[in-house]
Amino acid sequence: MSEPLLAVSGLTKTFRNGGRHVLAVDDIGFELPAGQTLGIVGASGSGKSTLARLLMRLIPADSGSIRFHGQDWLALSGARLRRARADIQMVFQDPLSAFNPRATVESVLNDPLRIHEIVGKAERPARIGELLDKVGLAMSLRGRSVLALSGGQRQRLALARALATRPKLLILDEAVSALDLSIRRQILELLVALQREDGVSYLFIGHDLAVVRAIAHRVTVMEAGRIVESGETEGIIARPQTSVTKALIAAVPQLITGTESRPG
Amino acid sequence: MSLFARLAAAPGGRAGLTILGLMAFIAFAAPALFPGDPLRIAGPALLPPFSSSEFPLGTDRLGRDVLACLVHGAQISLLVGLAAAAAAIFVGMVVGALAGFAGGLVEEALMRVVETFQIVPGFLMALAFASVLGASLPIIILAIALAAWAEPARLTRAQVLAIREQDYIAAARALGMHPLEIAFKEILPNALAPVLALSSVIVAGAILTEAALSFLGLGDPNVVTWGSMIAEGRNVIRSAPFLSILPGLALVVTVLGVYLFSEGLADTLRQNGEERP
Amino acid sequence: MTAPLAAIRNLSLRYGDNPPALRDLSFDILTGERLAIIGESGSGKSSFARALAGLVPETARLNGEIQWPGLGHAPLPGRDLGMVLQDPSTSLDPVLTIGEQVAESARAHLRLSRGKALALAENLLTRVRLPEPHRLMQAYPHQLSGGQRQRVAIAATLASRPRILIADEITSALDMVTQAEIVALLADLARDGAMTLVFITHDIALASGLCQRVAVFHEGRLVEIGPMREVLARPGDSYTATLIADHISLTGPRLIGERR
Repeated sequence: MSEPLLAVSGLTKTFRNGGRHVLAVDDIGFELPAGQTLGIVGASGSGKSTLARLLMRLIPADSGSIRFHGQDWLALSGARLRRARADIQMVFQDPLSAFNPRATVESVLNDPLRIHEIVGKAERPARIGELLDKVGLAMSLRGRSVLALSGGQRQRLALARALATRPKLLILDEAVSALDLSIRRQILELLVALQREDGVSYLFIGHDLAVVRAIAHRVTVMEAGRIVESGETEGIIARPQTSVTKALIAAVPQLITGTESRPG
Repeated sequence: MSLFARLAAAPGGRAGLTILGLMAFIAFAAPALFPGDPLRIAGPALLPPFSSSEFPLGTDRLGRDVLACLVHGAQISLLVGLAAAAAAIFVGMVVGALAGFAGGLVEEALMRVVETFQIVPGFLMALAFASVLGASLPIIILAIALAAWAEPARLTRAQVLAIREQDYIAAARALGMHPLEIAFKEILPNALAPVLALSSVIVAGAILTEAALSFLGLGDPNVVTWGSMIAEGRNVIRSAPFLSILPGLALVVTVLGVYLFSEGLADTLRQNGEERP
Repeated sequence: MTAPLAAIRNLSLRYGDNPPALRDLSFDILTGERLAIIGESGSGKSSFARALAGLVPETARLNGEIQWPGLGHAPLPGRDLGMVLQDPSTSLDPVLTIGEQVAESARAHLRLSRGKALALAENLLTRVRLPEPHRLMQAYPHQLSGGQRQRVAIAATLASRPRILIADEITSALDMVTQAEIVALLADLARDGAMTLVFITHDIALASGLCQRVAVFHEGRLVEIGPMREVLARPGDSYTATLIADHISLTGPRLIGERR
């Protein structure tokens, strides 16, 4: 495939806070081929979450271009944009606020199926069952209120909701950062399996370089809104070029058993 | 469990529902229980309560049946209270939601209007309206509603603003949900719960305001209300205090019922937002 | 052998009709040590922190006991015992300046005058490695980052020179680089052994660089306790082994195959 799934160039966003201007995202450009995972790492305030929201068009960009799935993504609007959103979905960091508190598991998954007319009304229950199965949620949870689910279960549900429209690209904004380590591993393994099955591309945003390394083919390091380093994951970690990357590598805690050693 | 069942299970809710249910029944059944005009002269004047089986609660200065007046008065009090509160809440919610969604100049302009109405003491505003526009039931309802709509407007706007920032609204947009659907399905239902809890307080306030207006002689003279009964009894308060006390008690019980109901409702709605079994 | 600072015996805790939060815990906290308590959500680690600090609500049923042979009496909260919690956005009072908040603790427990307390506060801000402490004294919490707020929270507990500091998931809401900095700060503060540190976290690797002993909690029970290196190298319990296996490192196997 010649054209990458996602090609970003010159993306910039400034926030006006009272009298002050904060350059949150500064001239960002990168590419993501289909079926691959790009990791975006950086400390808090590096602009990663703003980038996610810009790509999802939840906030408007000041300048730059985004080519997604062969289209000028920023040029779409209105009903055309809403329809095109089926191809790009997002999983948020906080499992608590990601759902309407009055929703049930069933209604959460029904929404995307209904809005994008993925299947007819009669087939929806069956499709919902398939989605639950795909993310490893028990059928018995269908009628439950989202408030009754654990954090790990909610992230699985968020994943199911995002996958309901069969997106080409999934943006995971610190999606595993708030989870217990065992649940985190399970969700990461699930993501990798889904990528193998369905060929979904991921933009994985995180602050833990070890986690990003586990599932990302390529990694981009951000600081203060700019990209400071970018390349194949193992290469970046073995031969970091910038102090930011080195600091991120050093910040990953090691299990001190005496048998582990630092890379590079 | 349905909302109603949960409400009945909450201690305050049960008492409140009982009282309000009784009041509503009485108000509905008034013409059947006591047919004819309650303000007609029915018997000898100033009969004390519990002294006659024909007039269980006695008669007033003009020989009108106190119990009949009380029962018919329930009709007006509840009608005015509920109608005024409903109008105030509806208008308040619409304005508040508009302000919260629109933002910018529209929001600023609307909030200045809300603040103007909030600054003026509610009762005085109702008083001014009633005395200028005359005394009839629709005017009374309008006056009370004008005094009460600002608070629900404020609350609705605050709720809308807070909810808009939540991740699940961003998720709804990301899903491609139509903005109107987001407003009506995702934002407003969650914004309404605290406003609904407030509604009971507004009803109670409306009932009391109506009674006060009637007491001051600004109510509709053709109907009997608890307020007008208290005003009537003022003239003979030393010799026949029951004429003022009985309608006063009726007010107390009704307002108590409304408050208990609102406590139960608030508890139930709060549980709604927490873990369900 | 010196007496332990705290001796926990058969501690059980139950909130209402829920399953017990803590089940029959028995172990010691040694004076001057850095002890890690590792557990996932629902393991009871936060309930234990509150029980240790005496912050369990009256409606909860607490059985067993916590003795304090190292202190000779139950710890005075804020004086003998300091506690820092997880959420940096709610751990500080938003309407007080940083200086006032840190000084508040000194004034309450050490009975210092306002001037002396403020001077001590500025000292403590330096000690927790905050930049420009003099300027920060006048700042408000919302002007600080999450990591900076946690440092202020730590400084506030240090004012009274507590014998024991309980850190309940204080790094979980922070990014990796800040987490590492806070852990380094705690190592520095607890180095001389005058203050015992109880470091509660779900991240076993983070704790391994800081603490000498580790206690593993699972569903309210103490599953394993022992020297950090030993437990990590040879976990006695399968649950501990699973926790160790779940850790994702920079050198272990990746979840995706290598680049094709």
